[in-house]
Amino acid sequence: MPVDLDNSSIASGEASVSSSGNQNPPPKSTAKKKRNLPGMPDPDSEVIALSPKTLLATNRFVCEICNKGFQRDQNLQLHRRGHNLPWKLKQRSSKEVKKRVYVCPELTCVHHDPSRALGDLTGIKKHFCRKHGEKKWNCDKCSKKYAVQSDWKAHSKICGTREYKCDCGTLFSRRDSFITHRAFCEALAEESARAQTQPQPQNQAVANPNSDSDPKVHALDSSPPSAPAVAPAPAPVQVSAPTPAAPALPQSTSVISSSVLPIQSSELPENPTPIVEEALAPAPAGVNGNCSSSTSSVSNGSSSSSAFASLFASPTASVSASLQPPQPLAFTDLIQAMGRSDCPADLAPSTSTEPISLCLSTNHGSSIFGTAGQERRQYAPPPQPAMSATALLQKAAQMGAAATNASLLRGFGIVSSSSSSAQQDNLQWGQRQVEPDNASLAAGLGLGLPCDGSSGLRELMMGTPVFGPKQATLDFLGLGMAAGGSPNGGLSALITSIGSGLDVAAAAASFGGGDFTSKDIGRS
Amino acid sequence: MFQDESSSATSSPLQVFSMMSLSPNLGSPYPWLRELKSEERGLYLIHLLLTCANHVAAGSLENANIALEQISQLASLDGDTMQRMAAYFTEALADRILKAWPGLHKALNSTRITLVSEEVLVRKLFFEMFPFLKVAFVLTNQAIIEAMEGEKMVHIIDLNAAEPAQWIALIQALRARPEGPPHLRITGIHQQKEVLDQMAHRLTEEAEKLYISFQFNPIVSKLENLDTEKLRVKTGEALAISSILQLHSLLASDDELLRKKSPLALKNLNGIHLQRALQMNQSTLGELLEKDMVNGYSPSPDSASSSPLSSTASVKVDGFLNALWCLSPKLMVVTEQDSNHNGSTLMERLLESLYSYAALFDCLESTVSRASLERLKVEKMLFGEEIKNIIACEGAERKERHEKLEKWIQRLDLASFGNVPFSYYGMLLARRLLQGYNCDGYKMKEENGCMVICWQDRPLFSISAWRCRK
Repeated sequence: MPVDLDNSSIASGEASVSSSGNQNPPPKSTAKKKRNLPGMPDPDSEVIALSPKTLLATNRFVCEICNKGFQRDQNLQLHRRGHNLPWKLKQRSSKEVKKRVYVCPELTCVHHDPSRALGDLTGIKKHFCRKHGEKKWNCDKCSKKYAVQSDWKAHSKICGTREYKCDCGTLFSRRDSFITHRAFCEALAEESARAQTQPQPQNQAVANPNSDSDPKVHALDSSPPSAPAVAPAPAPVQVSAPTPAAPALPQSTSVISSSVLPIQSSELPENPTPIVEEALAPAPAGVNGNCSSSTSSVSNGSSSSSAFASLFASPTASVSASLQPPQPLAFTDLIQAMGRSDCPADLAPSTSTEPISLCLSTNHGSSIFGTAGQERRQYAPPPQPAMSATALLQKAAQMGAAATNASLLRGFGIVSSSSSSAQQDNLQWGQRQVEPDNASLAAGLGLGLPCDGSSGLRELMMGTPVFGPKQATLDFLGLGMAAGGSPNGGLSALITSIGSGLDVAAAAASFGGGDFTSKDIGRS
Repeated sequence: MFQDESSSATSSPLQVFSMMSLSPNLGSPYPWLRELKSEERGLYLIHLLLTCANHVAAGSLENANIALEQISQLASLDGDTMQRMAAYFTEALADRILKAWPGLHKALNSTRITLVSEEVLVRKLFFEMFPFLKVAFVLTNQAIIEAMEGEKMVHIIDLNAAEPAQWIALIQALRARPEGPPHLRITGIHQQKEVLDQMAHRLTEEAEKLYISFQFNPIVSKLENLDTEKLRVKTGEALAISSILQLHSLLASDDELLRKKSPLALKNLNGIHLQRALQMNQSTLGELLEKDMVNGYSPSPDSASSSPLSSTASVKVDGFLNALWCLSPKLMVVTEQDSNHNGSTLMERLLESLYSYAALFDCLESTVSRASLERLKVEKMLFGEEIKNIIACEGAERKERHEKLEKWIQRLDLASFGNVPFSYYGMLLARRLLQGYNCDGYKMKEENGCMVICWQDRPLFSISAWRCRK
């Protein structure tokens, strides 16, 4: 089992057993390290020491919602789906679970030392059974005995399916072990010596695949998971194993700052693959968590406001360019970039400044909107500063509420038309107001009721609704309107004045007809 | 002939008008109208609108027609604010008149096509061009974040899931939580499946990018038909509800039916009863009204005319609020228009909506150019439709039943919700956003623990946060 001897400091045994697992300088700083090898746990991980009873307990996986126990993680996941938990990812983000390593409870075992703890719970369970447990499972074809059921099953599958037979009579089901054996088999050596062939090149040829097999196993196992893993900028990591998958591997490894990947060569090889996948997946999230925590360290509020800045900055394709200031796109990109999980640990410092600038530029974010507002206002303003509708309404209300002087019959239109005839462009609302005509305006609007019995006007005003006994209506009106705001009161008074002087009975004639209701007799 | 009249200094334009109305065959009518200055034209338009509305309310079609004709000379879709408003208000009034002939009305509206894409666009424009939705989103999201501190499983129900930007911002903000993001689940309700699909896509994409466990449940349903069972609220998850401009449509009910049923139709201002009422003196009227305040609503001015009706009409909304209460949400944030467009009479509603929409049109006038097609679309397809609904529709058809904030506070209080004031930080964010709009007209104020966004002095939208009160 090739071990990277650069990291032997971990095995110095100076580490103390503590729940936080603080240990000697980490191995991960070494560029050559691919992953934590079995028995070389990550020093930041939490060391768990379980009693044999707990270790062998069957229901290790417990649902956090209803505390039901399961033997297998998959069963737990299935069960959790019933809770309708809202996630789609396979794994949780690593912020929830600190990396745990386990020690063997057997005192005499080398893995009892925290510095040689194993990273996988299943692994430690199997190890304990295999090494310190009773071998209860016996192969029915041969005499082999096993303590772990899965080992036994795996063996009985291949028991009798041997393909390789050495000349010395030994049978092998696996090619690599067959080849390894042949390298040292005496019988073979005799034969080869007799045959006068070159044992040296054979050995070399044999030796190479031998040494490469394990790293190859590692690389092969990890390359598939690393390929789909989100690829950050390649870290300057050199790999000792000469495999094509190597460049991908150190990348993800450098991202995985806190994962432990024990590969127990003595155990079955199925373990590494799921471990790798498990470890790789949460890593980006974990690092992301780092990023975000560095972000949030600025202040919780400002990071959320930066998120809100994206809210304001989110452009829509459908909005025309005139409304669309260019900056929000950059902002959205920034936020998307920040949101992307690819911030490897060594890039963390730079990304943490990004969000800070993002947060500080919240004003920027608002000012995006500000520029938008400015841009909008940069369009050529209307040639005349027209009176706003709100102001117009208020003015109308004032005039309506103003005392109506019956004698002033000068219509506003006439006066202004005479003055406007002086200026051809009638839409020019100059700065001057029609002050002299205010009263007349009031009269004109408020009354417009000539007393001269112009038939047309009466006809115009004839149908105006009843306000009945003005007292009641006005008071009712007051009840309805006055406290609602004086402007309304003014306008309603305006309406009242429009209909003033008309008969109750005349207007009470109901029109009849469906929805168009006379029930709504202008009771305002 | 009318030339002489117009040159006379003593006759009012209304007189002239009436003269001209007698001879409608006159060719290009009212040239002098074009010589009006914009302010005078605006004032005149207001006058004409009121007059027309009076006629419509009274049922005198002829006069209403004349008024409409006159307004049409002045109104314009791309003129100043008053001209634009007049265009939409007269369309609404005309629609109202036309409803007296249901066959005609249906025939004229039968070939209307409403494109979903256009609706989506207009919603987007409203979101972009005004700060109201953005402020609502900011306040809602901040309130949710604060309420969900420490919660591991968060479920949000969006009563109108149309704008993904709100939840994208929330997802991003949740990721930055010190304790890490929660399991997030958002249930979106909308009538159009395409909108929900789009939302699902955008949100899951965003959540995946940020490695947040997220699930989006779409529910295609009308709000009034919503079955809360479908929301599948689980025990153990923290629930937040976001309602943006949705509750008021639940106030729509068949007023006619209620009027006929209620014994004291007086308060409903039936025409016949009005006559009777008018014969009473004022004090009796007031007493009668006070006796009818059965629900304990204080006879506030606004409620005097509409609360009797609304007390009976609020069954639907009360039932809905009750159903929401039974879900035990940790937080419910309600954004509503803050205007009284639910008066029982046309004139009431017309007056109120004149003010409110004047403010909204002024917003646009101050920020967008007159030539902008987007502005036109918002004015026509959003505000124009709302105005039409307020003015022309009655009963269950009239969905835009905006009410004042105090009524909503009463209603929510009655439904056992307790007000949660916004945090200082949330208000700060909202104010900052508003200031960033760089338009002096927008103002924000606090009222009874709720935030109200105003244009100049006119309150337009209110945002309030509520919790379940046991």
